Amino acid sequence: MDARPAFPARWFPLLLATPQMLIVFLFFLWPAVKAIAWSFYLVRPFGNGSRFVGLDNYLRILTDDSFYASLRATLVFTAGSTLLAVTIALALAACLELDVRAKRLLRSIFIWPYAVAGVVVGIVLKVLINPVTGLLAFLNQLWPGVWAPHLIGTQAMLALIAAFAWTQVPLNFILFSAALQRIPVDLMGAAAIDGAGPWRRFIDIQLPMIAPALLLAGVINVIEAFTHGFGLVDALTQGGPGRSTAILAYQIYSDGFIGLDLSGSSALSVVLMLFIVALTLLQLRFFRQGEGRW
Amino acid sequence: MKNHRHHGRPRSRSTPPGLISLILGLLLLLAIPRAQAASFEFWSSHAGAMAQAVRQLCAGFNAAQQQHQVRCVVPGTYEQTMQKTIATYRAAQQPALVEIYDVGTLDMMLSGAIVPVHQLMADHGYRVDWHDYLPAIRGYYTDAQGQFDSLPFNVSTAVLYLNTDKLRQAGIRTLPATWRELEQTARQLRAAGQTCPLVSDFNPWILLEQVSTIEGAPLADHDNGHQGLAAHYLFDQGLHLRFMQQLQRWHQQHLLVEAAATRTGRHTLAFTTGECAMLFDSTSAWHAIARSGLPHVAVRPLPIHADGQRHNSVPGGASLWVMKGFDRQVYAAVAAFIAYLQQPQNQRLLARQTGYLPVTRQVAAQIMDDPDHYPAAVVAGIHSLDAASQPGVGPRLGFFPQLRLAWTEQVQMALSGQQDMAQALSRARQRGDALLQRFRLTYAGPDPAPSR
Repeated sequence: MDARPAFPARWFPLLLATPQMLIVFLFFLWPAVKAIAWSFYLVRPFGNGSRFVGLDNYLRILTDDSFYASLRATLVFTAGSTLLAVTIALALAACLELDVRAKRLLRSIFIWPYAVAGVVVGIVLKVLINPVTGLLAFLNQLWPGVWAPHLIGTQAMLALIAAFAWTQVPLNFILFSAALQRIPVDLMGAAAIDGAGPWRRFIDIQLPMIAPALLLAGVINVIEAFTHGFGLVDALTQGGPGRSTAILAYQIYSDGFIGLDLSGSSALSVVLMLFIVALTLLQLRFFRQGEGRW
Repeated sequence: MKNHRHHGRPRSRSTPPGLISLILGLLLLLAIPRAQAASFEFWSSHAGAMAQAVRQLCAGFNAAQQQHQVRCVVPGTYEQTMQKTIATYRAAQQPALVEIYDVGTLDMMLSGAIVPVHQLMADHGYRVDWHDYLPAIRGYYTDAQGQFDSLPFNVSTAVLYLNTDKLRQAGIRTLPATWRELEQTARQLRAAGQTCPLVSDFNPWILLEQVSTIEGAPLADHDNGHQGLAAHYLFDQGLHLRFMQQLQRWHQQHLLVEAAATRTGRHTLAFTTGECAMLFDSTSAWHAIARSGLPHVAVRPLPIHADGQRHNSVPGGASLWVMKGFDRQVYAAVAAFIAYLQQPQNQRLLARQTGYLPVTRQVAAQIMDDPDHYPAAVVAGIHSLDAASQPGVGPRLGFFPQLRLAWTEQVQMALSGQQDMAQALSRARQRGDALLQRFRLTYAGPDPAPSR
């Protein structure tokens, strides 16, 4: 007997799904289609004319140095913040599996940062990285001019990576904690009896067993960094100094909304869209391989 | 707003018996005079003293007459107001009157979405003496026929603020009027122990646009873009290059400190907290500076080179645009509001409360006759904006906000030593020329060529 519930009518389920489908269409598909269309035109912002230019917008982007600077910044930002966020969350989650006091309290404290918006983090960090009054200002007293994130791109990028990783740690922490708690207690106990210390147990048992969670967190972090880094950049560096932190998501915002270059900005977002599609496909392949273990 | 798009709705005249009907009838009677009057929305983008002045002007207009009503709304910053104007116009939900910042002027002129303000006023029987507007403002806001497409509203310009207490402590008696004197003053301040003699946020609005225009050096050919969309940039040589190389030397010698390297990270605050002794800023920063409690602040026009001749500076700030898509009654109300804003006492109100400048020669003269009752920044601003008798030549160039970003980005790379200033300006010019070319192509299409 078939245990699955079946709807008698064919149209009724579709009717029920219509509101969601409409929302997806209006707010996700339609803008994407519009962006793809605009990327082949030169569009006047007030809509009083447009001009078909074929692939010109893409050719211009691909021959523009500043696009590659943005791309480099995006990759550094994404890789850096993902690595940092995964490492910190893993360390925190693994430590809480040991016998520590106030486990429950710490667990909830580590989740709090998830509720802080990117822009707020940017503003707070702006105070913290100030070269005169910030956390690292003492460096300038020892060696004047050594800490200058407003002039030195690498330092601005480091600040940005630290800030974004900070916002990503909580979700990773939840994923890792959950995965660690699914590891059978007797397995860990047996290892301990055999004389394996915490580090050994972590490397040989815990880490391999939570690999799928690591992968999931990595993929989520990468996509977040690609698409949602922009509020932080806007609040903290506005892409500067000298475009060193102008990640693609910020460049799209700045070209489109400040510069009113709707077609250039659309073409750039189509490029970003392609990157994300490629990443997602990669993710799906990895998950298929790991399906049995998850 | 929507109501006024569909006028002449049939109104019920019947009054059936019963208490409820009576009340309804009374309400209808009350509604009749309201329905004939027009109300409209006016978008502006201010916080602080200017927001308060705008509220005061709106309330003043609504109180001064019964016929029309303005609803004043602040959708966000200048940039956000521009974005929302575009979005609402495309969705046919635009406000009737909107304040758009200076660099949006060309986009608005070419938008095909506006009613030129000179035409609106003429259509509704207002006789405006447009020639009384200050020449620099006329030069910036009029179209090829010399007509105003928008109403200059809050006009500012860049000036030099000086903390005269600090200057006196360093033994400086005369205020600098040339760049060489400014350098000398900064050196003396530094020698007297002032760690931050002069602060700037390296904003191209001041360092590129104002400084060049004041010395009569256009940013681009074709009359700084006023003669059509075929202009090319010129700023990577001559005056601007020499000026920026000089600034870089000052920056290296700690005579000029970047705002980001100060305690607060903001140039106006770096001055008001006493950390820095001199500041380049807009006249509209006056209110923040006056309220900070610094006892002795002098304001001067930006310096010029000793061998240069002073030209009018560039009017910054914003102007008001009348949007298409409304009926005659709404436009009558908008015209009445514009006439109200133009009144001398309202220009004076704005100047006194905010540091924005008057727009007509008449009011500018009134203020200069009575300078003690107006902010020092307004007086210095008028000196700067109305320094010469020939019209100003402020830039009118496509994708200008992006050029500003490109300039900033390249100059930052020069300040941090990754390239020299000549390279920086040359790269910014190349990017700027590419932007101009794209802008030209965008508007080269068949239709609505440059709105008149």
